[in-house]
Amino acid sequence: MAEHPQLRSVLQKVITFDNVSKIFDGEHVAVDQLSGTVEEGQLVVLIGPSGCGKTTTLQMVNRLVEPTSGTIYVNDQDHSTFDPVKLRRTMGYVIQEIGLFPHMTVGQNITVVADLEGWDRDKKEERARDLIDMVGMDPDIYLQRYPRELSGGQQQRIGVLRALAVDPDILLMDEPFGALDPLTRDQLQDELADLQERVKKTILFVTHDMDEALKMGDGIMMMQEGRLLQFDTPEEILKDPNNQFIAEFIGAERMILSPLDVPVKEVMLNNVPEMKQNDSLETCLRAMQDADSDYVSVVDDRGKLVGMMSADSLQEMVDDRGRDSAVGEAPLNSTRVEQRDNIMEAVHLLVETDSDVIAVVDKGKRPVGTFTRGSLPQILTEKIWPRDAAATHNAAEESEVEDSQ
Amino acid sequence: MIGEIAFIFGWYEGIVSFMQLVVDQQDQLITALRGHMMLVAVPVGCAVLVAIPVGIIATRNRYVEFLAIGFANIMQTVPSLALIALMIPLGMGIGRRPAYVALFLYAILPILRNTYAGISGVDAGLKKAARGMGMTDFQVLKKIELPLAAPVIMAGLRTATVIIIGTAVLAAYVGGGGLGSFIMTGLGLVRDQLILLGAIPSALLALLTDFVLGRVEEWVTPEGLKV
Repeated sequence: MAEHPQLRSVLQKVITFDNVSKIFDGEHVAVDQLSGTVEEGQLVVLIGPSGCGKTTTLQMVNRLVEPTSGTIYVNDQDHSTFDPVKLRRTMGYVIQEIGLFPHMTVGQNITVVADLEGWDRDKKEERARDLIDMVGMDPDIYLQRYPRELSGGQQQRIGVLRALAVDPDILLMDEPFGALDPLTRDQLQDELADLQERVKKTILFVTHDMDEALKMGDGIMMMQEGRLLQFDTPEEILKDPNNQFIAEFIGAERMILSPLDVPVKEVMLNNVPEMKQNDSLETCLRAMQDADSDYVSVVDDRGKLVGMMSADSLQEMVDDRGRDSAVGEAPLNSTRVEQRDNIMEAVHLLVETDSDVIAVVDKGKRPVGTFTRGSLPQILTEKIWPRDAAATHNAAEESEVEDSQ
Repeated sequence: MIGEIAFIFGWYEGIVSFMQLVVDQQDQLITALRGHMMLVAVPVGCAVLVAIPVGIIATRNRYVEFLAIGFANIMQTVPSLALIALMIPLGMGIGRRPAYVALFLYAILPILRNTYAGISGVDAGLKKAARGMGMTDFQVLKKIELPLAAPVIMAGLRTATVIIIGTAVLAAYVGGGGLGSFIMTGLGLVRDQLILLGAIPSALLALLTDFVLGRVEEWVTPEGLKV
């Protein structure tokens, strides 16, 4: 298994599979010696064809299925030592069948685990209102309704909220959007990504849809016949699939053929300080010095990007209006790209707007970094003529590199 | 014309004399009605206590499922009169006791079958979600399976009760009393009106019970299943 820098631990290891196997009825091997670690705050996708053991793997985490051998660690503790019922209450669970209880109102459904945990009425009501508001549904209209009165998409939104109700650290999602029509699925994927940016849960997500895996995953566990074939970032899997089966599963049209097909995220700078609109210019200058950055990004109350400003124009503003005026009043550069966009798009934008920098934002429009003209040489050296490519890439690419040198 | 008048008059006569019979037999009628209701309430009550738990266990255990459903099915195939009469050679003697036991055995199947069907009919996805969210097996039963199966279980209880109201008439053959005693005497004396004195109240009782239990069934149906 190729360890990718982004999956390497700086954070807490939340779910660790250590040589986990599941054999049903003594003969049918569903999961075969699976090992791997899901880090805190990551969304890891389990993907593979039907019967590859992805759902069994997921259900072993909340002990709906007990491993035949091997150990699963949750927060570095052997999870077979926990009481299964208590363990499950610390993990949200969303399934393809949605599974909203038809005899309970939407509000009761959302707070069903809170109810098991003995929350009082007011606290439950408040939590339900907050959550349903988060997905843009009116609490006054929807909390009293019954699941049957909702559309499939609305039902699964509630399914996701129900899993979040007691604020678990871990979310287990078993093909959550598999039963929805493509449009609704796309919309719920976006909403989950947006939600994830805010709540940063550790999510294990089962799907058989490669597009969904590439879109949602920070990491992808590729499975076949119970074995884990590859565990990598989506970019790495696309660029460098471990074997023929994975390459076929990905499909030729999605394979990354050009080295320039990388998302902005991989080359952006992320040392840019984030300022509120009413912060003073003085504060901004100091923050830039501290972060050793030539830029600041300015956000609104909800953390969404308003625009960026360079050190030079900030200095001009200071000369113009004094150090105490608010940065929100300054002319800001609001050009931006999404972090998963292709770097070529960012390059085009730089050229088009004739600027030195553009902001990089996540799905929720929150700033995550910058893409500057200064990034271009770096892209050229690292992505097009990688010096140590020979060590990691396959023979074909190796000879190409030699040719170009 | 005269024939028609005589016919209508005959009917009128009949009704008047039937009313007279009701008034004359008032005390016996009330006793018989009360006895009949006991012949229904005791066996059905006991059947509920046995069949609902066994029905629930049958959804969780294959052996219980096989034995219980099989046993109840066999009981149901024995003709009701034979089942009641069989109680005497089986050492139950005569009187209410053999009637209670036979009617109890007879009431089990509809309740057991509906409990089993109601619980196992609850969507597998719901049970998976409930367990996966951290409900204990008992909580899954109490909060999910029983509320959702309640209308089906109630329908079984309703069927059993109405069947037993009819079948309890046969209790009179083993000296169990109830409205069947009028019918048996009426048959023996060839007096139609005595037969009706047993038949009409038991039919009315069945209709009324069916109506009331139908209402209860509606009442136990969760709000969310109605919309």
